[in-house]
Amino acid sequence: MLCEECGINTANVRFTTVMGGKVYEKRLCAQCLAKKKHELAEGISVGDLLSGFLHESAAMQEENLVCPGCKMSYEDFKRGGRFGCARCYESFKPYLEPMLSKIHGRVKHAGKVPRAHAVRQSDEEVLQILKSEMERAVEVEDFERAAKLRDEIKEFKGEG
Amino acid sequence: MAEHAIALSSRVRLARNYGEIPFPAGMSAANAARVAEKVMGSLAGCSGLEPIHKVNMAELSAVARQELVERHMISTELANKDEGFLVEILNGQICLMVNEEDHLRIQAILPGLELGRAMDLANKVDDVLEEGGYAFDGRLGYLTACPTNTGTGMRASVMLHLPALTMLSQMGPIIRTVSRIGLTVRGQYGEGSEASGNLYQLSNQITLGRNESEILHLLGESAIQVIAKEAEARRELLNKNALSLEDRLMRSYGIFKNARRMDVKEFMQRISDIRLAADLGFLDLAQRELDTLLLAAQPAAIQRRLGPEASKEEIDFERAKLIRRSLA
Ligand SMILES: [Zn+2]
Ligand SMILES: [Zn+2]
Repeated sequence: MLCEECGINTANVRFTTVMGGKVYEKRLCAQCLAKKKHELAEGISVGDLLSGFLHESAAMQEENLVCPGCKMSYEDFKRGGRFGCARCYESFKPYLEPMLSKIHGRVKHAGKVPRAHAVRQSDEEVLQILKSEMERAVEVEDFERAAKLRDEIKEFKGEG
Repeated sequence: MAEHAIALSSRVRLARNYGEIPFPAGMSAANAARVAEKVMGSLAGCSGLEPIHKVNMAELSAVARQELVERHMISTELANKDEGFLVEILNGQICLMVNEEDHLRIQAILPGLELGRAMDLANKVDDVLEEGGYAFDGRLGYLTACPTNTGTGMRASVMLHLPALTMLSQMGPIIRTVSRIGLTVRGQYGEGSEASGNLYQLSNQITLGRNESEILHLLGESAIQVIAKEAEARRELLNKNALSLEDRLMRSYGIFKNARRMDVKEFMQRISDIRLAADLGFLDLAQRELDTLLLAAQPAAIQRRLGPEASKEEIDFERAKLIRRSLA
């Protein structure tokens, strides 16, 4: 993306400042960053931190996981920012959600589904919903409804 | 001042990978060939989508690759990959990049503000290629090499010509505003490129947690708002001093008609002036001619005609010649 200050150069740093207890974040180019830092140096003490886009580590104990599919380690991934194969998503799972949530704000796909996955997926989802509803019915001691749901699940599994 | 004068083109790009093959970055030649086989097999089996043109990067000179980048048909990343190739489908409305950062980058490109139609085209090809078995997860969606594409794998963008907003220094605030709603503004060659010739790409940043039509709707509505702001800024410039604006823009036209040598940086500024002059009715010039010139006068396009030995000076002379001829 382009620099949020000048709108001309490419933004290559993330610039965060804390002012009045509020965090402000901007993506800037090198020139505008230098200007900003200069401005701030003259002002009050500021907690500013700089980081390249993908080089923020999740705030958790990091063990160096290795993907059995492509032999990429989580350290490699952090350095390059690219997964080696589809299995990396499974291999680096502990770090995945915080990272995806940082990038996208959400972590659950809501878009297109390939036909090959559509059927299986919706079956699984329906089953999951029925099961959790049954559990909830048991919890509130609505056994009549729980029995009904159990029959539904049986029927659903029989059909699938 | 029509919308299409400000929105030059729309593009939808879908990133896809085959489940069983490592992503291109660490891929063997054998796996690259497997991907190629799958793609070409699927396309061959589908009438109406016969590839009209397959271009292997390994067989192209560096200049020829760069020319494809200038024409927005491939990315710089693909240009640098010997195992990568481009397939043009549906009269070049689809440029399918294979073995780029992901196995497949299905790109649909249309003139004007046409996000919906571009999406339909990309989907049509996607529906055919998915028989190859995509890397897909029920919770995370399409699995891509870069986590910034995970989910829909879709990046949609509109190329906007925004000279008045640039002149009035309003691009900074606009970039800030759109970044708050999950959109981003880039230079004309996308990721990492600088804005030149007042051309900007407005695109979605977020690919996970929203569906394709939500994203396209948000992008389309935002593009319409930016276009309205540009139109407003143009009116403001006209109200302030129409004559001096006309003078400034028409000087670029004078230089275009008479210059004997021009570098690409100056060319990009002047062609933006002339496009604006035409939009405002100071000049009678068809947008299509400017679009053609914009591509023909880029460095690699000229270099390819002159040959690899051509110096920068010779290219700048040739550019001026080309400009004069196209305005004659
Ligand atoms: Zn800047
Ligand atoms: Zn892997």
